[in-house]
Amino acid sequence: MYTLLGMTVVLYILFAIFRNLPDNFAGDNNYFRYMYRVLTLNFGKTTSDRDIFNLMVRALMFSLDLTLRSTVLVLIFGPLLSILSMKINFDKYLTLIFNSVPKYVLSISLQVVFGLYLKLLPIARYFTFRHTILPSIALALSHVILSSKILSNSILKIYSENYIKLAYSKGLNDREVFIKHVLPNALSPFVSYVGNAFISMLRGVMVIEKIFVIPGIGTLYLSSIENRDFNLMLSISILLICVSFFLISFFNGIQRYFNPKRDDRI
Amino acid sequence: MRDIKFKLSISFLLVVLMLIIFYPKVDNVDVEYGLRFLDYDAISKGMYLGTDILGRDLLSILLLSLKYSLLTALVSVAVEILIAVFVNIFLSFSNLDRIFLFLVQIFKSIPSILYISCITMFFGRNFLVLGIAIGISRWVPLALLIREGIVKVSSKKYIVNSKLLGADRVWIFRKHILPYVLPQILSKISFSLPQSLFRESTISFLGLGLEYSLGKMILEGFKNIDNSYLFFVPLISFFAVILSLNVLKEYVRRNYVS
Repeated sequence: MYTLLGMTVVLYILFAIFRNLPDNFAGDNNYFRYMYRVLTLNFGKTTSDRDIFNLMVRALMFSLDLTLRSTVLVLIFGPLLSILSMKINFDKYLTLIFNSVPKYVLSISLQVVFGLYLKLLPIARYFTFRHTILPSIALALSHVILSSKILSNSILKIYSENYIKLAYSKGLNDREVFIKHVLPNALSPFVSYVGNAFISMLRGVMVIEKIFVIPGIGTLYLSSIENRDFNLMLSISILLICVSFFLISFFNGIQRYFNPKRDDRI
Repeated sequence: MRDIKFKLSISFLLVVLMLIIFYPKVDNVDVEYGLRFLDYDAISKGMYLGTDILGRDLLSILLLSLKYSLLTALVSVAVEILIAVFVNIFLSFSNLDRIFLFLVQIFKSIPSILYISCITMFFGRNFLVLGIAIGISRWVPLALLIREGIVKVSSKKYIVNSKLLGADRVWIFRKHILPYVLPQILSKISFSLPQSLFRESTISFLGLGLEYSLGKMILEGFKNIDNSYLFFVPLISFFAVILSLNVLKEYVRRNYVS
């Protein structure tokens, strides 16, 4: 209830900012009428006279598709890399180097290497499965490395606990201990990290979309800024705020399921 | 020889700083000599790294953009730390915890690029404004971290004991809580400088940022990828600066934060 109230206040502030901008604002000037129209999914039209809701839904499909693909990459390669990094200690330099490369540089270099020189994969656009490989790797790579680090840290921490010693002394072998005692406890920080990573990837998708020319929500927002289309900008802001708010609540629920002891105060 | 990485990185940063202060000559322009890289004619004119499309001295442009990127990052880190520390001081002397957490949950759900673009649209594309906007977008995790430390310490027994013995809140804050929280803030500062450089350059890369910025230079190079040096020179310098800042961060974390 309080959160809904806060959301309306935030949306009102946004609306007030956009209404007072000097250029023409094609939306409704009354806040409550505008919000009623938004609630009935009638966002109005762009300056080029197209329906905003259709545009946004089509763009959001692309963005969500890309984000889900990279989340699957994180879920597959994070644990694999964590197991590898427990065997071989290459962790330190990898994180040092990949912390120093921003996402757009990484994606441009992926384009140049795999698309331009090796000619293995298409450089830009988003049609088939082959088109989706490079952008999803570029979006996921930093999260893969960080999540693998988190997972290996939590696994190592749990192996020093007392109940693992008890499980060994009961006569369980390595595999049973790992599956029954280590994994359920070690997985909760990893899962919470993946939830946060999904949200932050959905926000950071803008850069990737600009570079790989994907018609997603980020491209739409940037083009609306370039065209000074304030109605479209306000609608995209409302959509993004609502989507990320619901995602945050959803992942909080998942975290509480995995880790019931979690202290909400911290 | 133990800290050779640290010494190398800090000397590199100092050299870059001296160059930024003393080198740039903005009016070193020659339209005749556009698109030269390591060219004899251009070097004899004092353009040591060649020229870009408009015939400007590439090294001057590079240093100028580096200067504005670093200034923005510094302003944003200062704003971030100021906001986080003041919010926490305010919280520790009042009982508004629930409201604060609720505000944080709302604040988290707004994507940062939205209000950064709003703020820069309102107040102009200035390095000060952009730095303040980035600082506003980054203060939440730091404030939560400091608050977590304070909550953890406050439930310790020696603080309860000193409360029973009659110490007032300011004394406890100064003597018990601050020494626990301060190293975390220090490590966070060294951690957040490269991060805010990233964010600034990303925003400039999207075309919403400053006139002179590394992201903008990389964007220009990306548009003219045929002359690949226009893309690789800012990229390599950016990578070197970030890498040395990261090495500095590792050093600070290892030696000053337990």
